[in-house]
Amino acid sequence: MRLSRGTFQAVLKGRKLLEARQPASLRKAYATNLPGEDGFDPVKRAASVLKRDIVRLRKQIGDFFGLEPLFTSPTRDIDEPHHFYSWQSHCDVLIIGGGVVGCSIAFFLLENFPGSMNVTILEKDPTYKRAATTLSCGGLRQQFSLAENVQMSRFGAEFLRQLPKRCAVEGLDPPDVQFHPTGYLFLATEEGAEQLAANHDLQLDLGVKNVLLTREQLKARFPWLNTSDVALGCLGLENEGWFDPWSLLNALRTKAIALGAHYVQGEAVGFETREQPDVLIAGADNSKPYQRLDKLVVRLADSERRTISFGHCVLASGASSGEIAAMANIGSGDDMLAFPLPVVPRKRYVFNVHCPDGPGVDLPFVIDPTGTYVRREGYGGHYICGRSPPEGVPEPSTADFDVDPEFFEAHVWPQLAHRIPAMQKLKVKSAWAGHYDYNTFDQNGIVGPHPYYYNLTFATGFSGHGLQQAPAVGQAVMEMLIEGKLSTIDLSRFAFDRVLLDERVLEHNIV
Amino acid sequence: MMSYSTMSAISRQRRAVQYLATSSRSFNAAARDKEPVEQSNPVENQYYKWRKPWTEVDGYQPSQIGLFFPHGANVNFLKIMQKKYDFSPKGFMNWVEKMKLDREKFRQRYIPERHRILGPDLATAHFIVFRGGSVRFHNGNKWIKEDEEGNMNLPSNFVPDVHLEAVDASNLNLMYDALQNFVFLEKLKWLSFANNKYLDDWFLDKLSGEFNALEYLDISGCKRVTHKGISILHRLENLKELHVADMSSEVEFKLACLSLQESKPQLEIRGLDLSDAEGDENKN
Repeated sequence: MRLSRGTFQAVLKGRKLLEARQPASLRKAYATNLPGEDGFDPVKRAASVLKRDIVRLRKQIGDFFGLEPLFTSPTRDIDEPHHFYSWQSHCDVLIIGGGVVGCSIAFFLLENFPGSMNVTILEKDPTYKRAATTLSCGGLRQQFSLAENVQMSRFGAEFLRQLPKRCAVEGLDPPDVQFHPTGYLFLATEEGAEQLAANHDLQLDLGVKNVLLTREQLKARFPWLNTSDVALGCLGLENEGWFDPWSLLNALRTKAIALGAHYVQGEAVGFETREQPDVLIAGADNSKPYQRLDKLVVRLADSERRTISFGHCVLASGASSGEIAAMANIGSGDDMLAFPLPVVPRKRYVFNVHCPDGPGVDLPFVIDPTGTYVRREGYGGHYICGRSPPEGVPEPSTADFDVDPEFFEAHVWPQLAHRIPAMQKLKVKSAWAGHYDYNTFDQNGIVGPHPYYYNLTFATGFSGHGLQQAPAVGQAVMEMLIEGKLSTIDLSRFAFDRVLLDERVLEHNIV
Repeated sequence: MMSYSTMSAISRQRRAVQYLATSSRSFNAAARDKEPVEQSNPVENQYYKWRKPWTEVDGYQPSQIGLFFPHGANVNFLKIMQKKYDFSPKGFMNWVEKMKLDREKFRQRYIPERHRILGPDLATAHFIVFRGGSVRFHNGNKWIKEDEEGNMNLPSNFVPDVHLEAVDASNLNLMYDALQNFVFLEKLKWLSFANNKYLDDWFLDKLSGEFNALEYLDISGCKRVTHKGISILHRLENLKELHVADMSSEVEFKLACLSLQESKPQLEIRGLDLSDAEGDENKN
């Protein structure tokens, strides 16, 4: 720590000078580390760090000898008001975005390598009012057409089952995601039946348990279902249903913080780069010296700006990932930096309806050939339903979180009533809108390092499936960072490279 | 293109082949260390070809240190070194408990050889009787149980046309992974998992997707089951009798049982304590 002359004199004169009101110029003289940083008092900072160390030592001694703990809350670090002196100015791994994907990455890093690295999660809204995670339906299914998606969801289901043990924090109740097993029922018309059967074959190969049902079998099993235009259906028999996203997020976040992750509230507003002339990137135009992503500029709640220096950065900020990637010149540079991150927010509505004559407990999570979905909520005749806007209908504006009142009557209700005739009589009880990270390129997740910035990893663009794929993504990013390769699920097709190569990896939706 | 019913039938056969051929799949790290995970990704990994590390590019002269690390860094060693070991007495007791649980889980695992040699029915019978449960076959009236000398009275080779009709696994404390042993029991009608402390909603989810012919199910005394597990039992199409004595006392649990009863008129639910619910009705 370089002390300027003014600081040295102040320390010699004693604390009286420090306690008096100081002019800004003198305060700036107490700056630590590098010039240009905000100035603050080095003696107070040293004292606060010492105090925290003594408290931690006392806690460790107390734990060993079984003494009464001084503080009863194991999550005190979260409740502590954010101190200037405890600002994470440096970290090893910076995770931009504290949603379920970001917290999952932090959890997996620290579960496997506790105490080894400084993992910092940056989140702009700790109440998660507008996060895609908490506004999600919470569905979990393995009925995808891509092997990676199926494997990720299976991993997710396995993880959710083991969650009470893996995310248990001493002193708190073991977390529970409230998993409602229902099974997904995908319906296909004549055109889409072959695709559905092919998907089913792939899922069988990967160990998923589901069953193909003909029209007659569907009619026998689900008498309330209108099968007039349905040729084939696929019913999931295991590990499919819905769960509470907030419980999963809370469990991962609490456990990550208990394992030592630093949770910082702030909004990312820019990157600072540092020149590294000795670095050459394979495949890039190396005529200009390499600019490494060095720091993230963060704007705090009170509009103050600070920086976090990181060793590695993981971009998991959901709907705003595209904007943050643009701050790192991704999309506005040349050569490899000419390709932007194709993630934009998309608004989707979810409706809670009440239908007194609707199907009972035998209603699975039904997915109509048009994409309309419906599931049961509770036992009082409430249902959750929704639909992506059909082709030709413009996408709702992502400027706000308001629900379009005509969307339900125009697009959801007719299809719902056609599929389940008992739902012709229903009443909308409530509705909400959420923004999720939509990958405009091929609607599948982007998980992997950026080809130019070697210390930037993406974990975003899941287009509505981020919640169920979060545990698998956490495991994958952990493997990428530590091992350098993927050993559990091969997600190499989901790397950002496919955007450069213009090779789409598409999910084949059932028509 | 073949008819959809043929597709459905063929898919069941393929499931059979798959279950008998492969051992239990698990993405758990511990299991990954024991057995290699088969990556059945049908598409070849092409995108990382141009991301070869420098050490693998043609013409690169490898350094001698590479001889000591032919497969790259050993992550398991890193994990072992990084783990925070708790050497306090309490930590030791936690470790002992965890070891006991892991050992029990290992003992209850699916063994593919057993199913390959004996077929699904006899293999499950061996699994249950070995642990102290009892089974009954469809062509006999006797319950087969392990006797005092330890004889199981079960054939140890494959016998065709022998199907399980009833399995009594009560008080055996079988875990979720043990359910992998209960596959392709097409004629199983009677099943009891009473007083199983590990039985929860995930267990019922797996159970309800497996036994099409089941008519009697006893899950009394399993405290971990909630209303969510009860609702999924509608998947058992032929279920006629369900025992739910001495389980959760929540209102939603009773509500779920009643909803299940409503959707399945032929189902009889025994052991449900509706005294509180009736009291509320009288108040209203």
